[in-house]
Amino acid sequence: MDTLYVIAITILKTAIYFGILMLHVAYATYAERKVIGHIQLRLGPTVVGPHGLLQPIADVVKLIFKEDIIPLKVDRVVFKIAPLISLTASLSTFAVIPVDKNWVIADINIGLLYVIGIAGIGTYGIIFSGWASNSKYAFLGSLRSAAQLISYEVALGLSLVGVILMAESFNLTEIVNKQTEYWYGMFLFPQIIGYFVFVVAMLAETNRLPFDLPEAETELVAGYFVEYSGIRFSLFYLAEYLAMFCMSALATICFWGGWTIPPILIKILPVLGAIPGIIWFLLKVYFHIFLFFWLRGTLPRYRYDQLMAIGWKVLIPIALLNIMITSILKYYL
Amino acid sequence: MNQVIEQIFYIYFFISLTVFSIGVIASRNVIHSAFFLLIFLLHVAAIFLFLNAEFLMIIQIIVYVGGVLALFIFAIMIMNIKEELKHKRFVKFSIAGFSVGFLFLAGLYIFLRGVKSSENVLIKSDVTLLGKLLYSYYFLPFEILSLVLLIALIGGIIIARKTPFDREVK
Repeated sequence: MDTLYVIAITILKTAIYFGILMLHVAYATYAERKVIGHIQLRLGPTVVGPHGLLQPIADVVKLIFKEDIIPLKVDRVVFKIAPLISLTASLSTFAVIPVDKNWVIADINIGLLYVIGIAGIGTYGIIFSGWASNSKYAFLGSLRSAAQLISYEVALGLSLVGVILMAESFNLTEIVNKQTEYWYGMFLFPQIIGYFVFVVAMLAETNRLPFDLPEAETELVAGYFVEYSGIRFSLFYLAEYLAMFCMSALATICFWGGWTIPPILIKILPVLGAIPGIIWFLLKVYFHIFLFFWLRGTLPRYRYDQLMAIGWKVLIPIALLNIMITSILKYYL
Repeated sequence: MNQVIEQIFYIYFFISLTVFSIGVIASRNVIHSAFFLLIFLLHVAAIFLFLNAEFLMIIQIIVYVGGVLALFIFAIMIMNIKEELKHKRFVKFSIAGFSVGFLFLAGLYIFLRGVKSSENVLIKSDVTLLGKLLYSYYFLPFEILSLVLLIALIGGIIIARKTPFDREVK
């Protein structure tokens, strides 16, 4: 009976998380179009609803009712499964992400490793979709993406080692709790090098500009999902935005102190302590999401060889240096 | 209740592991083989999870699913493997394969016959324990293994450094 109760509660929690996440993803697309619009001196969507607020709902309805076209010469089974792999991988990462004190579906010991590992499975959705589409553009896009994700996963993992060393734990809740022991309340300051590497690797892992070579519109039309349409296309889109939220949440937890605020700020302004943790968490996540859009509106796309050179010759050595400095300081202080 | 659920899951995992491993060697399309291998490796990870070894589970996923298999597929997609696909399936090696498999199973049986399972060996936070053991009791094997990996890494770089042109000149 006890087991059934736990299972029922977990399913309920998961359903609530899922609903909130979907809402966030829908309005992230709207926010992206608005932000990019204002950066480029346009207005963005304005027609559906006041200030275009109902635009995401209209988009979802359109995508669901569109015809699901499957081209003639594709590998049907792999073609159909590929978007589901991407989506499952990005959704599963949210199981271990704590949004507030004790607000987490699964509080496991190895939460950080779990997020990195499961996020890596998403690569297969891209590789299989590109291969199954039987199209040159999709194939090239998926090859680029596979190489990019494998290279940047290394940098992403290494940038987080500094955080793990300082927190002495893989558990995401413990990482957050450890940060409140310092007066500045964030690993952002001692781990600024790690944070820099993490942000660059995060952009590359989620295929966002300036590293969106897998989908480079001007060269590859849309890259790996060029043959997809309707609901399957939107599943890829969903997976990409979910991955963005996952990486933002990870950055918030590992470097920005999660749902806590620095103890020194509470000492100066005790009122801040009364604000619930989830609001701080969401604000920090929204900042990172805004960072994605901001960089997209600002930077041009890198060339492919430049992308690989940055990954292997700049980011990984910097991350290794960061690990060395952190462990030396940790040992002698 | 818990026991029954666990038993059902174990039976499911072992049947599906067999099915998927046959799928890996039996499918004619190399990408389909890789696809079966992906599901197979994920199931192995799930078995680790059921044995309360969550660290091993996630290492299995990061190393094999995230690293090894991704590089496999990458190599498969770049290479031209149409020639191999024209061959008949490797039926003529089946007798050798079956005998090797039988020998392996027999050896495994002889090895594991007297093993008694002892439960609750791992304490709750097995990551900390693992780290401490690796740097104290298993220090020498650990360092030797890292040296072997380093040699393999340098070897790989040296082989890859030569361009095809260099090799032809030789």
